[in-house]
Amino acid sequence: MRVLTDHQFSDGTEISGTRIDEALADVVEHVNAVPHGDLANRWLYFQCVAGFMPSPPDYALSTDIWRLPFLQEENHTGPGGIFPGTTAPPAVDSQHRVKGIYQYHTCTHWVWTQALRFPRPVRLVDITLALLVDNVYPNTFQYTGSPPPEKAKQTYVDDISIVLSVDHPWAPEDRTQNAVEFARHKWSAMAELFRDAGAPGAPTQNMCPSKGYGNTAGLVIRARDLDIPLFPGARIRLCLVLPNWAAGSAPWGDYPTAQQAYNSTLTFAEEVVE
Amino acid sequence: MSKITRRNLPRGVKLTPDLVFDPLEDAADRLERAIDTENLKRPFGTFWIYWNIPIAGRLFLNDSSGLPGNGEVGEIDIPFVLPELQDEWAEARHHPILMDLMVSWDQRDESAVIGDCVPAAQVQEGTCDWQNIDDATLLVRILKKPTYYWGVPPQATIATDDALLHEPTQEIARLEVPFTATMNRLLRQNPALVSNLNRPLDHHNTYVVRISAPNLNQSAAFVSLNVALGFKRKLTQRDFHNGISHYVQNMPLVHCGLGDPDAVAIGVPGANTSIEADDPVDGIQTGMNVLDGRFQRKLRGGYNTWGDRWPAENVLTDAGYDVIAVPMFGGLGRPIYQKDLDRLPNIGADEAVDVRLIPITHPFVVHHVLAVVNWAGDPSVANNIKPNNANLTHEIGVALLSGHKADLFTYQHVAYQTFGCTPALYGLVAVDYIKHQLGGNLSNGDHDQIIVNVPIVYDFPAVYPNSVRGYFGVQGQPFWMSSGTSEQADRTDAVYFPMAGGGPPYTAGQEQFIEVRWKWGDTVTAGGLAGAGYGANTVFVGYGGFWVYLIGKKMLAP
Repeated sequence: MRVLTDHQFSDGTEISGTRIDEALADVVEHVNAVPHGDLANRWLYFQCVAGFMPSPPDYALSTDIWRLPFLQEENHTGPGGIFPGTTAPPAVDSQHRVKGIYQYHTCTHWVWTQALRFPRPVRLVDITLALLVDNVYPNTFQYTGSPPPEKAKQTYVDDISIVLSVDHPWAPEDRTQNAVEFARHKWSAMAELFRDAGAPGAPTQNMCPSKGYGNTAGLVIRARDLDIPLFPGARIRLCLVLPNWAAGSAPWGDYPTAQQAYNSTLTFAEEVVE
Repeated sequence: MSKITRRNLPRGVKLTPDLVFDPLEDAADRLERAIDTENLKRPFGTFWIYWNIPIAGRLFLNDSSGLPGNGEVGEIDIPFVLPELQDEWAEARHHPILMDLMVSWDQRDESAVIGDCVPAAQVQEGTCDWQNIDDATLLVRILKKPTYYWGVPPQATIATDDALLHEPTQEIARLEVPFTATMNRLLRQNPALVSNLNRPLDHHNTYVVRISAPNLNQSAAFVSLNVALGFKRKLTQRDFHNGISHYVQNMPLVHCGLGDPDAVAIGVPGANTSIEADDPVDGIQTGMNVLDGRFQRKLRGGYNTWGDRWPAENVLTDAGYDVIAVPMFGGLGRPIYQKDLDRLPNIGADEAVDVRLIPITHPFVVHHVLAVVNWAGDPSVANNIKPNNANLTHEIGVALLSGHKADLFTYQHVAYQTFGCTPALYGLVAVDYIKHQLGGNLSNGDHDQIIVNVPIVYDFPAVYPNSVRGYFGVQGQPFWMSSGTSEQADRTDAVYFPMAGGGPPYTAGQEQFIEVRWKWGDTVTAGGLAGAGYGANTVFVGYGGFWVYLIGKKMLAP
């Protein structure tokens, strides 16, 4: 399959100046405007970084701070669902906002969502989430004390969900129609500890500024080399879902969203453009 | 380089080799790693700057009515600059072009506004208000001003108290998302996107993303608010290290970024010999097949994800511009005043630290690091003040991290800056000053925010001469980062921290993450941050938090 020109010259066949001229014109034209499809590498990566430190758990317990930007996964018109003193619609549009969440009997969920949209086609390359802990954010990611029902004491938590979905092009507001492009449910936190038990806890060379309260620790969840193609204008939603068990359940407690600090990075690749 | 040309074959003249083979040889020359933006149908690389603001709440509505600010509204300003890359410094070679503007937030997938957290009214936090939906009109504007550092008008005439130069006034793009667009049950324009803006931006200007919600009431919030700007900029040549004129820290020694040009040979018949169609050495078809073969196997340039180059490369301009925006100290939903210190996490011994981890997914060369310090308070407070105390120090560090599911747990510094909080001290590192509104009272004086330079690690001449291509004339040479295999493990030397030595990078070619840390505090002043050394209305962290920008080159990838 030739790329540059359709003309082919071989001994014993007709050859003319016109054909040579056309072939050369094809070559010059192609080399002067190489189509992007002729490049072996034609993608450039970019990263969308987010993250925040929630108000500390002790503060959350005592005053007005709180769970935002986490919002309830389930939409409803009961307490916590509707703004006090306002009128509810006949029905909510999407009762459940995230697909595939394991619906424990005694558990509600909080979800941190990031929504993105790009005008040109992109590839989703990498999803990385980090739930960092230290002396302020105390999550051990182990069911301790009084574990939630259905969970065994001293085992690592398996109730964090990560879902990346794309809205349906013809029913964009119906979450039941979302296309789930990436999902992790029911995974053990033990698999994603930044430093395993027994591994060196301190770096051989540290960085400045020092944290002053220990080293980087927590969960670092990385899904790499995904290469998920997303169509132009796709409405992309990344959801981190945390459980909210009954009061007093460890390690999540009453304020599961305040047990760790958050990092997220979405890496996409986009083609060169005109 | 430029486009190749050819002469038309005139009718009736003798067909000579130069008429046929000169264009083929010119094409072959281009394929020997000389394909540049002149030869590409798509000569632009894209990059997106993405800002995530966890909570943008009721302070939007607060204004300074009756106060000196006279009606100033608590909008969120996020300043940024797009400096030239080190190898193009002060050349103004290629300007970024703003193409796209996207904004989104979490409205619980309902036609509703979301309740903010209000003291003593926690029951409304995060709830849906289906009634007062006209609150949800959001306006995002991109404003510009001259960057103080570049002195336009001439730097010598600018005083740091010249507030006129610190207020961005010229609007270059806007996206208004009316509540009617996001409250339709069948199609909500959230995320909202506008494209094809085609606004060229200047490396010597400062731009400000200004987010406002003119109708928001005291009970509502925009949650997980995201703003992204899409740019395109002409591709450029990738960095290389030759140890003589060009230096890159931490670059794989296996290639040092140097090109491996393809050898494309076209057989040309001698003068006065017949031109044959498919002579195996110098036939027309043979020459065309040589070129065609390169296109069939695709033209090569850039790196794979491990930072390895292709053998036999064809493309010269295989790098693009990139900016990674890193949020720091956001998520608290309000400015941090002295009275709010207990709201601040990781506050211990009068110091606060925030940390971000960013995975290294592809080769990236950092050319500049900049940081935004934000002291914009609540406009309804009459006398917001910036800290003015040399003992209050900010420290910003960027390092490579290895250790995720790995044996080697270590850091290698990339950039670092520290400064005290007085105008004289941060004036030594401030690239620009930004004032939301002239005479406004988000903060006292002539600026609410500053952009400071965070130099790449430098000052160890035994390793490399310092780069003079950056703000304030001195910083380190560009810094490569990529996850690699053992093939790329050996790296060029890097400067160690605290800028007193250098050698093989500590991460030994095994970096996995970029770690960004920001620490501020005062452990010297009696009573610390909560003491009498600071007033009750001192704003330590402004509304929206701080930002760090990593600016550099990324290369074409598969």
